Amino acid sequence: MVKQRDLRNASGRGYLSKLARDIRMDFLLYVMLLPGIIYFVVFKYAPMYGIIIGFSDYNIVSGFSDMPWVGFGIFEDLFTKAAFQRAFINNIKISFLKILWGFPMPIILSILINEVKNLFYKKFVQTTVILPHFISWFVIYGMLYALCNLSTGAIPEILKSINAAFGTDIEVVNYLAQKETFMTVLILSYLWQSSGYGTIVYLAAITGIDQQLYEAAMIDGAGKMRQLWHITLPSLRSTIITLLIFRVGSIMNAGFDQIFALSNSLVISIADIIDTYVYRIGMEEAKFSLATAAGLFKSLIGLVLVLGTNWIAKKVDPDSGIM
Amino acid sequence: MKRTMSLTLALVLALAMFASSAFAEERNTITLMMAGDNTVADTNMVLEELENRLNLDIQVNYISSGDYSTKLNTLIAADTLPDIFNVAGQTALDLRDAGKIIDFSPYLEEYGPDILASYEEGELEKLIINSKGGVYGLNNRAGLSIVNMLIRKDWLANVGLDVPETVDELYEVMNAFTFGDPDGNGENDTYGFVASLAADPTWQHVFSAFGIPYAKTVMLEDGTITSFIKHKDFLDAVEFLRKLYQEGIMDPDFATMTQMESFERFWIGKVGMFNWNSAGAARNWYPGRYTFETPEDPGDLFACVRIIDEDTGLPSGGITPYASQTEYAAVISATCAHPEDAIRFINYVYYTEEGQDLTCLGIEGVMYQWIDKENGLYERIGEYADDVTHRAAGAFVYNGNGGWTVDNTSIRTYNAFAKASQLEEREYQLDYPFIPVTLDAYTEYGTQLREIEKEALANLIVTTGDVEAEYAEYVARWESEGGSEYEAQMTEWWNENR
Repeated sequence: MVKQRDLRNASGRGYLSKLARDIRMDFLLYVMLLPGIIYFVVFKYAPMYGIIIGFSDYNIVSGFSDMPWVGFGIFEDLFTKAAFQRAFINNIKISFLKILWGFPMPIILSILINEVKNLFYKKFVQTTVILPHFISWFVIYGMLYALCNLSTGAIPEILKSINAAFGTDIEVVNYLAQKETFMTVLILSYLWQSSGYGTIVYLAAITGIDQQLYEAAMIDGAGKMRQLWHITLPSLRSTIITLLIFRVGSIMNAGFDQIFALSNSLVISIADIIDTYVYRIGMEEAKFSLATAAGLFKSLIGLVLVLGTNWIAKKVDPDSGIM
Repeated sequence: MKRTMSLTLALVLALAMFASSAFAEERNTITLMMAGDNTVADTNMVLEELENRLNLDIQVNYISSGDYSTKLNTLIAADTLPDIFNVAGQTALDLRDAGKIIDFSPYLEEYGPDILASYEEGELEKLIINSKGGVYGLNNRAGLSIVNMLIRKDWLANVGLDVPETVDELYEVMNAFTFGDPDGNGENDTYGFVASLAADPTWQHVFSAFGIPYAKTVMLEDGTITSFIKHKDFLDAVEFLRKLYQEGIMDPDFATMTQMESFERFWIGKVGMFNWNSAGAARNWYPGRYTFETPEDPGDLFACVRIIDEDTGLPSGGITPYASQTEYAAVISATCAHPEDAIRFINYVYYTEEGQDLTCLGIEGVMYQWIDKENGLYERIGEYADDVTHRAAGAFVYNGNGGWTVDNTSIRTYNAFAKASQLEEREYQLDYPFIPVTLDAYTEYGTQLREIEKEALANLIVTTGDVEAEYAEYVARWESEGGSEYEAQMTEWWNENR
């Protein structure tokens, strides 16, 4: 026993002395690391103290000082709420759809952009697809409303004109206010807003692929599809897996801004997600305990999914994974 | 020469320093948070004038009405309350009991003489927030405009119909306003009915026609106080709206349009019948907001619709406005460094004629001028005739209701049509069992229950399924999500306090 403790201490001392040596050697690099560490401590770890609200009967007026401990009572209350159950199911559905459609899009887009040989046109396309990422969801809602509303919206007007001109009977509806169409609008607007931005990492990875591989493949008679299948995609594999792990880890983030801006009473039954539910009960009704419990539950699922996906990725390919 | 110049410069410098220190006024700062939906510049003429008149540095956090409670909850949780703010319900009582707001009765005599003069003996104690003694809050007693259903007379003339008085006639007019080319432009581009889920008043009269106070409480036959969605005739009102929706008479964007967009439909002549208080529609918006030609007297353009209730035979008008009278209170936080200045501000802006005129109408001689002050006749001057410019410069922003006295600037300056239609609507108002929002169940479930009510209404209007079955599901959900508990508490409160 004594021996083991000595060994541990020795190992601990060894690690500390190695760290001290490394710091002395790369002092400036460690100084550059400092702001990042401070950021995480101040903005990510320190606020975790607030998690205790999820286990206490917190009142915004009395604050932390008078907060009876209730254990898992808040969670029990949360899980029995029909609105939370609905939000949880919607959350999974919307996230799954976003991964299904949204994850491959930047990869496809990057490969397509990479094939553009005219440099000016390539830059133009790249900038055009990235720009929507910087538009607020509330502005996008304004654009969608202008497109979809039945009084003056562009799409209904076009459809009405087609019906009038060709005698067709295309149903003219507000796509934002129909349960049947809202999810499509949600996913399409998500793809439009985020796909371009997602190409940045993939384009950087594609640029790093050794061009000699393509030249050799061409000499061997490989066409574009063969090059894509045997060179580009395998070279992107570790990048794809890493980003997939991050994406699966954030599966519970179904997009608060987008849904908060786009949803309405007609579609809330399919659009309400945990984040919008948390906002409503936390910020509007001031039930911070319930909101914290919901947020914590969401984060725990995210953590489990990150670790699970990482484990699977490492099983499939030992070089993949994030840790 | 050099020495003389140096001495002169030093003297000038010293004098300048002396002057700046002698004349620089150190103003006390007060911070206030208020709700409103005007687009106003952070620094504007009215605010500057107000600061000069009160010799205060006034910092206003102007929050859109929909976000006010969210912002306030955040500030309470962070313990960074502004000096003056409005608060209602259990939160107000919790703040009082926790000592976060002050009893400002000691300051009233010296700094709030107009406040004291404005209330009758014992009136302030009736406010829920002052029920335990002291004066913790002041209420706005004059912001009680009632909702009218305004109808355009020129459209009625164009379609050859009279002001509707029954539900059937209402439908007939709405139908004609949709398909009868009421604006005479030869296009099918108008609607008979426009309402927005973001604006409760826009639904009032259609529900009132069925004896239902929209978004309020009702009493069932067994004496239970509950939500309006459980009114025995709720489905009749829904069926009426469904008919309007399915036939294309009702603007189908009711669930997605904002309050402002519903206003715009009225302003640009896309709809000829609209639920809003006449003081807003026929005075504040008139004529600047309307894009079509308007006669000088709004009474020549508008009439008021009042539907005869089939059960009672009485006309059903706007809902009796209660809430602002008893629930919302302006309070002063315990962290306020200068409570005397806060009282001085409230006293001047909300309780004096001069302060009300400034914050409601703007700066006299610059933004407006009186034509006949005795009778409340005024006109806005130059660019301030435009509503948007007028409000951007700070008028109608800090005191949209015209003051908290019973007879305030807003009421004093009603035009003849607004005055008559508001008074007349009172005779036809639809009363309901008013329950304060201080009940525990309201605090616990209120917002969620309101969301369910909106969701139910929206989906019942558009559904193509079994309306009665879906309605039963929504009612069951409303009850299970806290509604039953809320009902029990409301009924108990009503039986004890009516």
